[in-house]
Amino acid sequence: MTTQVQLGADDKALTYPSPLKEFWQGFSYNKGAVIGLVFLTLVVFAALLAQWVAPYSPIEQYRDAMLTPPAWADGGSGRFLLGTDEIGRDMLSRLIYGARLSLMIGLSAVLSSLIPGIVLGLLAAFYPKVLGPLIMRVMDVMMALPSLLLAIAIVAILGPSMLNTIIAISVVSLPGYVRLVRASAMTELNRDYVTAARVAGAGTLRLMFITVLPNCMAPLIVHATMSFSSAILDAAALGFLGMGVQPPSAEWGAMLSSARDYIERAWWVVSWPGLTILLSVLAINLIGDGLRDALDPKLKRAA
Amino acid sequence: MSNVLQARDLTRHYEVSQGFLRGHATVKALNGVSFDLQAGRTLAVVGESGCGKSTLARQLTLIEPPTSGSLLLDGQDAAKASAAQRKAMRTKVQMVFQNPYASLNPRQKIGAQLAEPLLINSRLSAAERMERVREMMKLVGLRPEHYYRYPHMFSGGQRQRIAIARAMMLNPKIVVADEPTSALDVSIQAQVLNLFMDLQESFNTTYVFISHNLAVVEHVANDVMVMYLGRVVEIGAKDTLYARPLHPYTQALLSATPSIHAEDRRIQIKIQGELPSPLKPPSGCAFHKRCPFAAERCAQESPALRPLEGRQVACHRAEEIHG
Repeated sequence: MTTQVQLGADDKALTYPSPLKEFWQGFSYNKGAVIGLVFLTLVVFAALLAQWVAPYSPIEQYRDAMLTPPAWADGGSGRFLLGTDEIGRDMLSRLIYGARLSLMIGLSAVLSSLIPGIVLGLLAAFYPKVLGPLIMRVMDVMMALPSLLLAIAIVAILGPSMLNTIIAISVVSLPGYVRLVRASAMTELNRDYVTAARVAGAGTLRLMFITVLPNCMAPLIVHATMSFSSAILDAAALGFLGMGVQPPSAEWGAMLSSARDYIERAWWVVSWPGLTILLSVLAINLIGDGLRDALDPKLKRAA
Repeated sequence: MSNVLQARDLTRHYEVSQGFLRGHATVKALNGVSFDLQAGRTLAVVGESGCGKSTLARQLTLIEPPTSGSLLLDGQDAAKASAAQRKAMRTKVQMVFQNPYASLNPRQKIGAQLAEPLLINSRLSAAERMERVREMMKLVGLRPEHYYRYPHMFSGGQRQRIAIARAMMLNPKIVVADEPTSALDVSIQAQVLNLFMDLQESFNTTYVFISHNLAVVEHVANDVMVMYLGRVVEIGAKDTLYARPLHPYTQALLSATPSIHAEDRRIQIKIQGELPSPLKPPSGCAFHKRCPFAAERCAQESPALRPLEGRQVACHRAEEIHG
């Protein structure tokens, strides 16, 4: 038996694109996902470069131009491209600065419930005798409480601030992740390939995160992208109740809820933040779809 | 020749819930199974569904501890081994599963799956692992470009080759194969069986070959163990057993094997009824309710394995039946 791998005529078959390139091939196959990624990248860059991109300060009030319509509408002026809100703040600037807070709340709320959710869910699935029921009963208690009420209670205890809003939202959405991970991990655990990994000597950590977790990712990714949007809206609800991001900070959800009174008189005040949330959420969901497909080898075309 | 595997009185009971407030029942899936296995030989375990074959496989691969009895691997007792020793023992027994579609991780490339046992149990570098994997792939008849493919890109026969390669990666003493060919096309079965035998020749591996296909067993086995409801009813060398089965259950199994040669067809022995529930095994000999030769004694007294005509058989009336 030769100990040296013979690299010869079939060199090409033996080399393979790097994992990153392979991932991109799978991802870019989904056109919707690419569009979503482009849109989200634009929003992220606008948020990061808000100081230079935004025409005005987000909290500067132009008392002479309250509720100015967008530039192209009747009575609009070129000064405020997307119009102004009820106290004369430039809508475009507020949207751009608001992206910072909103995206940050969404992302950190998702991450800080996704990661503990995965860990708890896997623990519950791997230790079905004592630890599993314990975790699940605690999650059931959390699910039994109305989610907004629980979030309000958490913020009320911790005090209103952005960090506490994120904590409250992630605690509220934790049970969903735990249940999802546990359910899919339990079905995977009975499969032969998990037994095979056990026979090969894999430890519990390896079984959890390398063998089982990748096979539970599809529903998780979809759920995570979905809850990104509900995190932004939950943050808005908390803000509306005076327990989230405090005025005058710009935040999409807070903009939406404070503009509620002007729906009939000034459509733009409520439309722009709503539209921005809608498009961002759509973009994230499209990216989630693409991510799921790119990570699923079965949906990839044969190499 | 040394024994690589010694099973002594292996027993495995499962507690099953019978429903709310009705307590637990015990399923005696494995009921005192003993055998010795020598290096480089193949033991076939035969029996109908539910007779404890797969439970036996789970005991032998140390996935589950036995309820009682002992298992000596290479002279080392599995029950008394420390955690580190158990880890080392695990690498000596590997397993090939029945369903090649379920036994490979759908999200891992073949190369990574084959390298996993090495990654866990050895200190080889990534390049060395890759080299070993490629050697093994060549040995089981996979092409080098398969290294970067996912399991769903393969046919059933190829997947079973991959599963066999994975089991062989650590160069185990024993490979437990749980019906490795029953999910495959007939045309592929022979190829996979020949691969098993070729590998046995080059690595001197011991096989525990679980099957209900007696034609397959005749092809690969050195020794045959016939099980019925968690017990061994007859165990012996293949040739002795096939030439002259002594236990009525073995006779029935063998007579049920179809043959194209008229002269090979044995006297038909029919057994009636279903396998009794392991929750409530019959008294005495577990087989007596279906046995055409059952006598009164069979219903009362459980027969022990006893040596007879060069093999061991658990039947009270073995001599009379063949008298």
